[in-house]
Amino acid sequence: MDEVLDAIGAVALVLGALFALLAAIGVHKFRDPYSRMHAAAKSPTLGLVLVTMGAALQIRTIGAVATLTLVAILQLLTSPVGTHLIARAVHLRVEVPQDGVDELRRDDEAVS
Amino acid sequence: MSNAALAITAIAAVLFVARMLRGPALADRVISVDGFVSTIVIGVTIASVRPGSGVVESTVLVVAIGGFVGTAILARFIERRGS
Amino acid sequence: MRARLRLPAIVAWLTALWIMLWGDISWANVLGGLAVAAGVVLFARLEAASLRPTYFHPHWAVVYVVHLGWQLLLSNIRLAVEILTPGDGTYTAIIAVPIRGGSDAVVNLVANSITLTPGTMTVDVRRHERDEFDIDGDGIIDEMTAGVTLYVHCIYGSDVEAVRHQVLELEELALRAFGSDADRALAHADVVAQATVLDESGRHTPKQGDLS
Repeated sequence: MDEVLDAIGAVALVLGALFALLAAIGVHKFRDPYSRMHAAAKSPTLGLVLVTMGAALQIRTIGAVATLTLVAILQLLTSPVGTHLIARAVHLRVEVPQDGVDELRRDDEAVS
Repeated sequence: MSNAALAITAIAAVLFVARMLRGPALADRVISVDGFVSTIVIGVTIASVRPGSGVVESTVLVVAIGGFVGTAILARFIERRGS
Repeated sequence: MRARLRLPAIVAWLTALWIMLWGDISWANVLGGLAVAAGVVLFARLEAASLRPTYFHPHWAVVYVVHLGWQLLLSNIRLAVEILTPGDGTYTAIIAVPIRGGSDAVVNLVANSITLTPGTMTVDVRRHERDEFDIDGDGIIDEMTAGVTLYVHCIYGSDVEAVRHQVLELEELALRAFGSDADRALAHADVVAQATVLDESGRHTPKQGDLS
């Protein structure tokens, strides 16, 4: 049983790391800040959830599992907040042209 | 196996730093730092399974919290500094 | 079936966290934990908003969490396909989505959850005045103008109405799972026109309330 859990844990660790790599490639591939943020926010979050699962499966003590679960929940709660803070700051400071509609700029210009 | 995972994480970290150096704007650099910080947290978590790394799960928790606080401060920085 | 969480729960939660970090349940840790928790709560000077009871309905809350987890997975799969295939299939847009808007807690939850769903990310949140209409007089609100507008950046933003629909569905789920009674009353309502004002040039613009 132990070997099975170790193996699954190892796969989870590698998968999680791969999502971090995906985020890094995405930040290079996308051209505008907002799209880059999509990659930089969502992929490492899933990556961390996978990695904490993998570490929990490999370590298997109650304390470790509890702490790692906490880390995963913390990341799920704080990652969107951090992303939103950056997105708002970028919007306040930088002009980013969109392919489609930009209703935020429309509404901003309407009140100013 | 954790070696492979760490190696992949290292490549990701280097790519983030590369984007941070290339920019072109401040916003892009901040986004790369955000991704870099998250990648560090992932790396530390992977290290916690390795015996003798000195990393315990509590370490991971602290790094995760620190990562978020760092990102929040960074966002404030763009708001003030502009581009 | 609902639960209300308040200040004692915060203290209990912090104490449990303290004990867990020390890794061992001894009287020293329990008392130390209580002391630290009490100290933190007093020092933090929590605002009234943080101490308002949080509601959750176990059944809907579980549905919500599972749904969100699934969405996170989907969004990453979609991102992976986009990033790893050559070419650029993206069509970016920032879309204004009028949502019902309930208590701050629910709006906060929805805004954060949107960041995790495929292709979307919240950029800004604005409150307005809103009107509610009970059309057939059965005590259930049928229509309302938007209380909050979420500005959502999408990487696949060609179908604006689809995005709005997606967000409203998520909000309905959030209202049912974590909403107070007032919030859940809104869950059935359809969002009709956004409350607007007419400016000098004759254009309708969203009516801005006080950002509290």
